[in-house]
Amino acid sequence: MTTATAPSPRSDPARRGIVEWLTSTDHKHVGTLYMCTSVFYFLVAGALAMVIRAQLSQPEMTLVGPHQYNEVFTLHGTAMIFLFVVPFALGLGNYLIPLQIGAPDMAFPRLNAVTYWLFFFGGLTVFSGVLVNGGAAATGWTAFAPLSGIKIATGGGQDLWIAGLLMTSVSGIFTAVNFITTTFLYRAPGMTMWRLPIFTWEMIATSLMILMAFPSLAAVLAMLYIDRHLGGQFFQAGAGGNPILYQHLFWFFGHPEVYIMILPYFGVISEIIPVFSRKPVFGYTGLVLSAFAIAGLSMGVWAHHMFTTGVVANLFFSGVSFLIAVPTGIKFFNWIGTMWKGSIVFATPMLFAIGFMLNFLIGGISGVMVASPPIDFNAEDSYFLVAHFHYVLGGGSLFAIFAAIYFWFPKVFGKMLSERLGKWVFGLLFVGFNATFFVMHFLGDMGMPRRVYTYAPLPGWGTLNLIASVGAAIMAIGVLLFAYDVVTTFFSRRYAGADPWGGYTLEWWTSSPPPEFNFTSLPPIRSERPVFDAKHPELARPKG
Amino acid sequence: MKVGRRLFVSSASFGVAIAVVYWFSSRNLDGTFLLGLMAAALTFAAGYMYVAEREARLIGDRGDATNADAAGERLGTFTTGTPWPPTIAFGAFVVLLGLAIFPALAYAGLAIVLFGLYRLGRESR
Amino acid sequence: MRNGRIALAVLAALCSAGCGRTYGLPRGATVQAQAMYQDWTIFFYAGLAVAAIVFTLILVPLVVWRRRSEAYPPQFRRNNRWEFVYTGIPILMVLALFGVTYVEEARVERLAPHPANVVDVIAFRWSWEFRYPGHPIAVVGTPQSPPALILPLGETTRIHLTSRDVNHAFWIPGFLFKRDAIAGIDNYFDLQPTHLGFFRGKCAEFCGLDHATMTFGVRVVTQNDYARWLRSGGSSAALSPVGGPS
Repeated sequence: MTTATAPSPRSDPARRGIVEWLTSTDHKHVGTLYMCTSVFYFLVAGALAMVIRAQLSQPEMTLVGPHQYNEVFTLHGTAMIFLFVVPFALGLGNYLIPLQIGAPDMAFPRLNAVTYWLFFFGGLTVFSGVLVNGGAAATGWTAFAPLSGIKIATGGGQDLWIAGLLMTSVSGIFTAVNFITTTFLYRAPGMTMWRLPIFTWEMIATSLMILMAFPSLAAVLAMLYIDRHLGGQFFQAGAGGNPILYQHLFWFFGHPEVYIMILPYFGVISEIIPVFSRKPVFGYTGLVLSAFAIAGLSMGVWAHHMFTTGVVANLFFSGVSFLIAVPTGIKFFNWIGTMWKGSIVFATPMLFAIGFMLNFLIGGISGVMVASPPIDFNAEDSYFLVAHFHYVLGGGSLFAIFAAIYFWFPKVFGKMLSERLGKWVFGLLFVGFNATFFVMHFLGDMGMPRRVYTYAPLPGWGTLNLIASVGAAIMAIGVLLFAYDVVTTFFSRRYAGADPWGGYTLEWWTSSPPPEFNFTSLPPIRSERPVFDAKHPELARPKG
Repeated sequence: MKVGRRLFVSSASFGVAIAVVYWFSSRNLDGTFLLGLMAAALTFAAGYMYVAEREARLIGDRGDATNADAAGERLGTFTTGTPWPPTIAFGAFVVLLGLAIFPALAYAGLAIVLFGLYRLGRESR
Repeated sequence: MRNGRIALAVLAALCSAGCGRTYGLPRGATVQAQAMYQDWTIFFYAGLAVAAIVFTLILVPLVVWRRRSEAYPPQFRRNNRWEFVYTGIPILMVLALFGVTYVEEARVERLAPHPANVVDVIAFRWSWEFRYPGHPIAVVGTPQSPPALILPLGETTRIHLTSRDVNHAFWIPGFLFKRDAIAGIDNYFDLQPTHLGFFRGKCAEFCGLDHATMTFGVRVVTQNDYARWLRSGGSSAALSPVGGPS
């Protein structure tokens, strides 16, 4: 199907009733719900970030008091990590994996639906903390014991935080089960594992990490709850417990979590760059093997978040952390190899993909720096670290999310977003993002700690913080422009056909949006880009 | 399912290796225990892939398969709409709300979860 | 693309603004800090080199191989030689960086066999207590009145750090060093100051409401002043006046 007309009402998800959406087990509905809900939390967490940046724009401001500020940054981090970046990836995976492998749905469609609704209620639970005595959790997204113990975090907000995250953990574990099973068992004829799209491979590696890491989070949350309400002493010093145990358990989850937050987006970039370079992906095998190298190594670096505790094997964790830079670098060079001698098209998805690479490079380099304990002894818990993780998560994952939205929105909703507005959104986000977070490297070096609701008027601090806050405002304008783009697109007539970009993978074979059970026909699958092969048989060579 | 088997076997081997290296570098029981459990879980999955999936002949694994080869294959039953998944999730929500702020709710939530599971099971028959 | 170039220009301007102060990182006023500073310098320039190379490699295709026609470019997928190169070189680089880390970490964490002085530091919500074993001196601070830690120039002071309640972290940016204060754990580290002066200290592990104001001061004084100060039982009148904060 190559004509771009309005899709028939039966296959247009926007026309279905609310009951259909509440009870659907179709992976496309579940994926769409995941992605839309997570973008909602992005907007909420972004608004919280604006409060932070307003409060910190100048020294000693009093827009919010210390306790409110602590709630704000806790909810900001919690929402961005648990309710936006991860669920968006899982939603994208839900939507794309069956399409990319040529399957009609996920292996366990009803389990799939359960996972979305657990996420939905989990997010509500975390935020319902604002309604209880003492307010929402205010101990950071890491909620270290003993700060999160019952003696100090006395209110129900912390318990609601625990409850909400238990729900999202279980949700993630079941999603990972679904992803792996579906990919192993439901591939279409000819779709061997070594012809899977890179995005699907990255989702398998992500699913493996989820299966290994999320149980540790569930355990530490349960143990925290037991300490708080059932007389436990896991994390209380002086009663046989140890606060460090919390950190081991938390970071054993927490570090793979950050790779769970980036690997799907490596997959997104690996899908977009080849299409807009008009070449196959370079180094397919390397991309796949490096995904699993990262997944495996990520399980062995958790205590690089604990270098300053003085009680962990710093050199072991430093060494393995350096090793992880190697497969990440391989991916970078594979993407460069894909663009090399290509024919580059600067469509909006490609702009965001390039922005991703530039930003993530900076974040990766600052990451290698803090992987060295002597550097980390100064940088830990300072704004240098805030700069590092925002570069990889904001400059990295967030940019890839925008790239994914601009790339796959036509497939999901049947209409093209505006290329003109998209370029403005990219420009505002790129400039705003770098203005906000680059200066934070300097602030950290100058001695500004993180998680502070205010700071003294030391020389240069006010200016750099003001630049950061102005950058955040620029980003906010970009996000608002994006929202405007989305809303006006729904009313536009820019219908997308099945394949508006010249895509490679199977989702571009079927209509936009796809019908129930996805495909009425499939092309022969003889490489990792079956749609391209079918449309350009003269260029289809299994070995290149 | 050679690739899947290889995936879990190599992951399990890596898990064992890193747990051993970690123990001898750190003598830290917490981390070794976590890595050891991870290795055990991966070994379990690898073992399963070896034993149970040995006979699997998936059409997706044949690189030269055509759509005609797969004609008439029964993939399975895929549901389209059912209210029990959201019910079960809602029940879990009530249980955890109960544990967080109002214990009596936890029992109500458990009842909802069990009811949802029961109806889900009946639906499958 | 234009926006990308504008952004790079802004970045360059910001970088040159920071040049005069070594990008804001203090040189470090202890013997231990020199190891950290050296580590930082090596990593920083290595990072700069990697950034320059990879940025160029990203930007070259965007300029040289923009789409100019409908024709598809050569559809190559592999190049074993280059893949070997860009796997091997990063491995060598990280091995070298690990070697540097190994050496510098040992230098930073080295504990002197017989430190000249010992100070017990106890962190609590939301200030610090400094005790000087063998002397009847205990300095307890409040967020409104931060305590001062007195250290003698050139001598090694062993800090014994712990917490009375939640996790805190003892951070002196001017010394490029921090260590966590955790209840139930006794952390030990050495500080051997190389410069006189006043340095700010702050808590660097989120500990609740007044985490932002949980500061302390560090005064490095001459050994004579320090001896006089100890003998006087911790009276600040015993210390020579010091210049402004550094």
